[in-house]
Amino acid sequence: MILILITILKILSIVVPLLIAVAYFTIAERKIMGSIQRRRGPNVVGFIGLLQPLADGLKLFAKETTLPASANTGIFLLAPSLSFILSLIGWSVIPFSEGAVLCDINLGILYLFAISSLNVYGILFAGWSSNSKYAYLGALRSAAQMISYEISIGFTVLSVVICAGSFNLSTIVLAQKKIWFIFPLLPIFIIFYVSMLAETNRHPFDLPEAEAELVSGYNVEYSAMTFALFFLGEYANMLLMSTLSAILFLGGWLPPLDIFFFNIIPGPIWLSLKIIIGATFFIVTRATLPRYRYDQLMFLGWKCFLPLTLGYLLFTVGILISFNWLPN
Amino acid sequence: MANFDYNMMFFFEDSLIKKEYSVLLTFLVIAVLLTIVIIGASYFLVRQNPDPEKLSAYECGFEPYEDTRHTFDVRFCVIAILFIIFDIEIMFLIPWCVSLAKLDLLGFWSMIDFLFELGIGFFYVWYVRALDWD
Repeated sequence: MILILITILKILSIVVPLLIAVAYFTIAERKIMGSIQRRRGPNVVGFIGLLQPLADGLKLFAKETTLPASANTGIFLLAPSLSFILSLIGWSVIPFSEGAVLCDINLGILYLFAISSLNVYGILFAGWSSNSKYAYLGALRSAAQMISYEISIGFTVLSVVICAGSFNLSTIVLAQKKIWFIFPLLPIFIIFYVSMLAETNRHPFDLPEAEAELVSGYNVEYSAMTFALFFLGEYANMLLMSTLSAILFLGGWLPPLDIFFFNIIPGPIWLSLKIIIGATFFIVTRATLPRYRYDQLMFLGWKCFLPLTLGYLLFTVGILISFNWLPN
Repeated sequence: MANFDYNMMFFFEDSLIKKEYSVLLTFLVIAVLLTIVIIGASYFLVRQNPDPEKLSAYECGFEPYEDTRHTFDVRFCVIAILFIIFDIEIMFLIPWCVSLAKLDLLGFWSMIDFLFELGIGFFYVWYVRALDWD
């Protein structure tokens, strides 16, 4: 009994900071985009606008939940719940420091793969059950885009796995003690960063949302907390992908150099700094790049990234085999 | 985890299921409960004021006059089929990647052969313009 209570406390100590982080990620996005466009961003609620996300959350909570008459209500409510739940449970295998991991399962990477594949269903359910043209078109585009880029993400992650020799995320981080995987696998890292934009439906690949033509894509019929759950799920997913890139390529909780001054700073702080790099990348690309056309998006995914990642995977395997550098 | 014992998984006292996967299950249950609480609280605490005009599907001022789910572009279907093929390829590569050190050269070349044949298929798909949009 006490064991279950401790487990629940541990889980809450992941979920609650995650939700706060998502709230402050949104305000960071608005502030950074504001300063890129030479304006201030939200600065009224609280000290320099720091309470703005809480006010937004309260506003969304107090709105009316519309359940459209032509929608399938069950699936309509299942869709945002699914994307929120999936974005939460992905965090259970993330190692925050040496030994500081909720479930240290051997198949951590496979688990994250499964979670991110299931994310497609949340969006498809939303588009199908809304029974609205915009939602339907947005969901179709989004599903095709996510599954296309999942392949290149799969190959990039496999290149890392073959260098580390394990699916366990802690083992992958510890395999980078000598050198972070970003240095030997730099092209793969770049492809991973771009694919992760497409996987989370962000600029410049945010065609499912395309405000100008599809008004808001798959979540056009949603309001109040059902919309907020989509929003939270999307941002939590972006943080999850940043964390995954930090763990796979940037050495997780390891400091950049193995010297005293870096070693006295605790590991979770290094991990947070690396997550911030990923999160800032999401925001800055959104503020700087124009949106892709859909055929360009598919061209990039299928004709550039897929052959490139597959070729680089074979290249890595060939190098590892011929120099006998395979782990284990 | 080099000498992994499969009997270990099913001894409940000190098994992986008890130590790790039960935590995953608890996390899932908590996430589901949290979602239900969030949606339920917002739905039942806030005054709902439904209206036929408000509840109709959004369509830029028009009354929606037909069901939306009748046709879609066949290319989405082609993309989905191709995704299945390449995802199976990834699933096939996954165990190969972690066990490569224990395989001999035959294991290595078998996978290269498989990838080569799949590559031919991929360039065929490219050649018949199944990957082109417009």
